[in-house]
Amino acid sequence: MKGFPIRDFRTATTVLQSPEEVSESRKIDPGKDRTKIIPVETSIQYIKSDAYKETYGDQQVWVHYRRNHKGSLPPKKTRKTCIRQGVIATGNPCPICRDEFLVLGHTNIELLKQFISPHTGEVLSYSKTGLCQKRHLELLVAVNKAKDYGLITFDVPFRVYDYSEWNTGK
Amino acid sequence: MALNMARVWCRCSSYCIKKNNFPNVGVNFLHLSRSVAGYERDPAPLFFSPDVQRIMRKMTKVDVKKVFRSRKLGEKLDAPEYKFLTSEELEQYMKETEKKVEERLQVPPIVKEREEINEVLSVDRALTGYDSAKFVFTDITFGVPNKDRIIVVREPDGTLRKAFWNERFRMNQIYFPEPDRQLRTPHMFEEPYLTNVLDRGEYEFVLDRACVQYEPNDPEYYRVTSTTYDHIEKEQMFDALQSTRHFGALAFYLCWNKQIDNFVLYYIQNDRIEDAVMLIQLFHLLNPESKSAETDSKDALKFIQAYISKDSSRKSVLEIALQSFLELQKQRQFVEEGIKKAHGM
Repeated sequence: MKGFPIRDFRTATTVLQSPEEVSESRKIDPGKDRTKIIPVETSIQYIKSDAYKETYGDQQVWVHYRRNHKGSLPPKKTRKTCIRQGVIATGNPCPICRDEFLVLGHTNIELLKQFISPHTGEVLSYSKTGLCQKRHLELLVAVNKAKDYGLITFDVPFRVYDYSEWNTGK
Repeated sequence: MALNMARVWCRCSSYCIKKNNFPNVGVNFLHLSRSVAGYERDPAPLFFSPDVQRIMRKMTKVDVKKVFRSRKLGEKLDAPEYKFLTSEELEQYMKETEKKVEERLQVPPIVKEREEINEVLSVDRALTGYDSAKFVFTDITFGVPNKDRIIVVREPDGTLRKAFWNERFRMNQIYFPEPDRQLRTPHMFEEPYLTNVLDRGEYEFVLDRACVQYEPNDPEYYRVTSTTYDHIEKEQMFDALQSTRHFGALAFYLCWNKQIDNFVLYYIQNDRIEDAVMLIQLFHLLNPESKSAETDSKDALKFIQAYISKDSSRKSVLEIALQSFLELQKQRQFVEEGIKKAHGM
């Protein structure tokens, strides 16, 4: 191991680490590397693939995820984000962040439907699904957009008409 | 001081309003032609007539499971309730259910499209250039119906005019929001997304959402509903809207536009002669000048035959279908008689 070089901070130009050491310390573990952004179309294909089937089966992707926390009651909000500066910054990333091929987009309806309650039609809370805040917001935006484009079907309140309003003149 | 002869284009639903500056007269608004044709004559008097309402209601079969299907509206779910009832109490409940069914099957009104509002209240040239933006003044008094609300716009050149329909819609939605109605029209109602949804067969969804989003006299509402009904007619998915409130509207639209040939054919092929008769009766009510209007509807087959020979445009296909139905009926009768003889009756 190299000894610490004695340097005067006013005049010295020596660095503590050599360039090779710097680049080696900056190497990202490939399992935690999220610098490459996967397009939504690839995600849609992935969900239909055997690899997905083997990993998740027929269940939703968040079902087998468990949060790690102190005590019996989890914190009210999940973490802000799992990925910082293109690297997974936690040992237990949320269901979407842990699988780089799960991309929340308004066209990826199969994935979005997994986060919508089959009983009430609402988007499931992050306390149930375990998504980090950033991904949860992405999910809300994607679901909203999909409903706007008519890709997701939902129920609207029943509109009652007053026939007398439309029967006369106008 | 000379006025600027600037041309201002403003978006108004699917129309473009062109503003012409006439120096001495004031501001005139030109209305360009519609992109989609609407109803030429007013359908409202016929739509609200008791005969038409009765036929539309009768044609809509009631499948209680579909009418009262659970709608996921984000409300808290309750466990199902089981009760023990006497036969009188059961009858009482059945009567109340029938009332609720009537409410659920209320057909959305079919009325003529509204005309664009073109009223100028005053022109105050002293206010020209006060601001580069328009001012919209909305009267938000509580208790005033949205359609009667006073909404006026002050243009940058000093014109005070009544707000256009799209401005009225926006203001009403901002101050008195309707649930699930969007400020900006959902992309779903525009092409190509509308065709995409219809190809998936989600007719009830499109029509329900259109009822919430638009008023019945909105030209956009007419465009969306007519596109949906035309798609159903083309794909022959006539039972998709059965037991919904939109079935009556579908039948009305097709009868009004004299496009019921596929519908009648579908009914004959599925042995639903009474339904075919009701459909042709509705056709006669909406088109009293049609050639077969005078036929008596007591003999169902003659009634349908009269329509086919005089008013339909797919005569050959319909006649073949009717012939095959008659033959099928004869064969069935023959088999029944054979069974009766075998049983010694």
